[in-house]
Amino acid sequence: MATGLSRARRREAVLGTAMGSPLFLVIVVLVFIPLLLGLRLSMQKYSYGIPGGFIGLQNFASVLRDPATLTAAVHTAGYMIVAVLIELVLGVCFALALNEPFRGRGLVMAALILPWALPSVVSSILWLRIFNPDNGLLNTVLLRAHVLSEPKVWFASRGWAIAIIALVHAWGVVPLITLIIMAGLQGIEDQIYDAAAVEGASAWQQFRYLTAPLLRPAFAVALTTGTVIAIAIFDEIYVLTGYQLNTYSLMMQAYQTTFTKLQFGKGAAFAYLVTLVTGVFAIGYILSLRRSEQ
Amino acid sequence: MRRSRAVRVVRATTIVALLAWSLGPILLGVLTSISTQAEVQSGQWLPTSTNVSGYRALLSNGGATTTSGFVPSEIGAFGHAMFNSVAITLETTAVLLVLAVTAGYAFSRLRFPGRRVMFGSLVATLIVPALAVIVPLWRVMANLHLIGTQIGLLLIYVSANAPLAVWLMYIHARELPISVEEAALSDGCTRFQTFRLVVLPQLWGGIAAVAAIMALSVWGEFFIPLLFAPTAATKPVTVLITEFVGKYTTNQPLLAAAGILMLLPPALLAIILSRQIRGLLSGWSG
Amino acid sequence: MTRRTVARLTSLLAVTAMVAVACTSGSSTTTSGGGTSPSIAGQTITVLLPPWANVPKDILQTFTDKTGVNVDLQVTGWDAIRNKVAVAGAANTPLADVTEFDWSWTGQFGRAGWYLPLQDKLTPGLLDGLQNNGAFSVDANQYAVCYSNDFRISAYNTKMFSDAGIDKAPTTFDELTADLQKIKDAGVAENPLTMPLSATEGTATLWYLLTLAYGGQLFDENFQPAFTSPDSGGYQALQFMVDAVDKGFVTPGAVSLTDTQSDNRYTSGSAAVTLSGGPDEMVVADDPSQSKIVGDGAFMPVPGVSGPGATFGLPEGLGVMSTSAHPEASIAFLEWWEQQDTQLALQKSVGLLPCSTAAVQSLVDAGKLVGGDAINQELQHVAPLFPQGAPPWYTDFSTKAAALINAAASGDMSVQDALNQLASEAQTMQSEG
Repeated sequence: MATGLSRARRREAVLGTAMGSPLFLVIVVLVFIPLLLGLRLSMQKYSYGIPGGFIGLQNFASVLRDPATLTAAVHTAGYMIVAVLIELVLGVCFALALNEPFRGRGLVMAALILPWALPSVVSSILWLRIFNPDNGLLNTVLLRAHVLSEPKVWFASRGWAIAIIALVHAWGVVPLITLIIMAGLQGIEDQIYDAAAVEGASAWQQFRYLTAPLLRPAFAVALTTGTVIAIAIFDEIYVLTGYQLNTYSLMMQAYQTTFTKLQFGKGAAFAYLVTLVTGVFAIGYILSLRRSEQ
Repeated sequence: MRRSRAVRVVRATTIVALLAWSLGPILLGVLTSISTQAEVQSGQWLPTSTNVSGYRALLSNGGATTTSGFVPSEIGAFGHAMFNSVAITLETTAVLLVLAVTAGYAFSRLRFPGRRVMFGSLVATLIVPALAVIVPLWRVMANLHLIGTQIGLLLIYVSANAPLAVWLMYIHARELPISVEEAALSDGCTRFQTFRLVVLPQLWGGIAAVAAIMALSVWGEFFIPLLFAPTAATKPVTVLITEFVGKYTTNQPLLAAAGILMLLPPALLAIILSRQIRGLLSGWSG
Repeated sequence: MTRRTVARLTSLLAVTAMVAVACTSGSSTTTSGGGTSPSIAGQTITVLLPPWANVPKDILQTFTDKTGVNVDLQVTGWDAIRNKVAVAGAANTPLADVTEFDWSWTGQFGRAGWYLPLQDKLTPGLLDGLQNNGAFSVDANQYAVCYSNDFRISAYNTKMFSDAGIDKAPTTFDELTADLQKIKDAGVAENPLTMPLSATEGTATLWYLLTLAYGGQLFDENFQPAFTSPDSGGYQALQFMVDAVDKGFVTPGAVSLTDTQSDNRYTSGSAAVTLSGGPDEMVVADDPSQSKIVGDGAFMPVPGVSGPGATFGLPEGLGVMSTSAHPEASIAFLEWWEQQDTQLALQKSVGLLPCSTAAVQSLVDAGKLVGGDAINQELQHVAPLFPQGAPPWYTDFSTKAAALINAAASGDMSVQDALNQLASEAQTMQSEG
């Protein structure tokens, strides 16, 4: 009996390794090894593409000391807060609404995912048609409705620019967040709802006491993914306001360091610092959600 | 199950809001794609007549020669890039699903040495931005002679999307009732048989959702193929479309038309997969 | 998923893998160094160019017919080429044999050693017939040969001018200011001038152009900033741009316009003047599908202080990468491209303005260049932004310049503050480089 159990254990271990390790190997070769190589790179000096020597942690220090990094971090935090908030509120609402079959659900699902599939070079044209100060839809409508007395240059003010860019970003990411929440809803047994409905729980009570707690893991994934993508915000800013002083983000700075200044070491250091910050957020979410679970 | 009237009203309102949120800008895109360049530039949002020259340029074999901006001299460059995109998306999604479903299940249910470390470190790579690894990754790929190849692109996509896929499949597999598996095991099924015959059918709704997420995210990849798929043989449509941005002028109707055409495969996929999500779960009636 | 689809996917993978092998095996042949030899026949070179240099297959064939060298032309975005060259360069791995080489990359990519110096490899005398050679040379090394003679030229709307009672194009900034005021007062256009003022490259380009037009230079010969004093060209140029906003010559929305969006205001008939147009501006202006001013557009020289000012050349070249396994074949490709008949054929098919003076002249003589006389005249005023070759920190500087000009035009900063900050940034960049 004991040997039988341990043989089963051994079989389980073999099967588990066989099922789990292929993907892990891909990650080791294509992420961990480059990350380690990059760590060496991040301690190397490059000036405009010409490699210099090993300089320890100087790249990290100079990124952190640069006042532009702080400004970029403040902008990025703004994007992140606005975008993640929109994404989670809409994502949860949309996912709950789509979770039960109804006539035409396939078409609504198709409509849901379209924003994600539209490349930013195209969506930027559409947003510019809306926010163009001279003949954009928004100003035209607001002027005609006498909300504005003269055309507003939306991207000129920091507040509006960040809010609008965050909205544009969220528009593209809501489909992903909705699908993640929907994937989470798949695991929740309908029988639980049936039992709850029989016991007279209201729809809100069902959500509050049944769905929400069970959704927590998916919520952690959604929150983490939304944050990761928001911290890496780049395209939307680049196409709407370029390198404007009051909108640039951390990732734009990091990208510039690598591709414009060709300071590959400092760029790598920058990217690691961004990764670190993202990691702090992710761990924070997971821990706080786990705590509220207990 | 009967839902109260209030719930149904809230749901209907939410769906209307969803459609407005998603389709509003898309509709503007459709209008842009059938406008003329001059109409777009002067801020006229309803075109006076239907101009389909953008669609014709993209779909016809010879492409279209405009006086400036985009001149697709490759025959059917757009169609070729669409094919590349569809092919790499299907391949990557298939590979990712096989790897992520098996790994997700293994991490959540099977005991084997190192599973916590493997799972934790795999999911942790979710936070690594492409920029952090780009130069060393290029070196690794160059050493493996994989730059500009479809298999190289596929491997990078797999590594970039695996953490999310595994995390979702792990959560999903963990929430399955373990009693069914135990019953199957005590009936003499092997672990793998249990996985194949008992677990997999229950995972189907989650797999469909993850497939949709993976397919869409691969479809939209831009930065990775921009660097790693330099040739027309592998170039996806997301990269090709940025080349339509002219040096002096940009043919906006053409770009919009390309964007609208790019939406068709994902829309089709969503319709197909939405039947799998939730739809296959039995014992439930609305 | 059905088994059949899986099988199809697998075979597709196999096919692409084979294609990949076939593609890479071509680059393994090594060539013996030394003088030109017939051994290049049968080689295949990879050429990486932006969309506007997408050479038609039949023109490429004439090169293959002549030399036996096959060309694998890959077209990709300009930014993408820059990024790829950078990443491949940093990783020290091959990318392509011949690539786009923009004038602004000279200092950065030349000094990094990613491109072959060409001066001893080209046929002697080849460079003499070409313009813009200085833009691709740094430390006495020539890193590219010019293939696209891009430069900035101003354009105006003849109808709007005559509607305001003006019968000739302005040649100085004073005349321009007076004309713009007249057009505005006459109600012909509310914002008669158009300018890109967003934090994008085109904005910096406009400022450089106006700096040269005001008779200034950005830097002295030691790369010390020369734009902070109020009587410098750079200062006057930025002041002109900011005044244009304040006086309502340009729309307040210009602070979010890129260069192409700004030019759209000219071709859609909203503005009467664009200062930083490209050499094919009139091709666009006379195309009814893109323009509402067909027949009304005309070039005018970039204005200056007392008569037409200097303008700004942005030539693009072809460079040979140091990692190329086929340097001889690549050089042969460059030489073929610079032949007059190749240049004329390319001008005709993709609209590239030739770099060879003789080729431009023959186009003008044959009347084959829209606005040819004006272009030919303006070419006499073209000045390089960096007579000593663009410094390695140019792109970085340009990004900062665009952002600071945008801030000054938005009223967030004064002209003096913006330029002082730009000067100090430039000094930091130099100390880093």
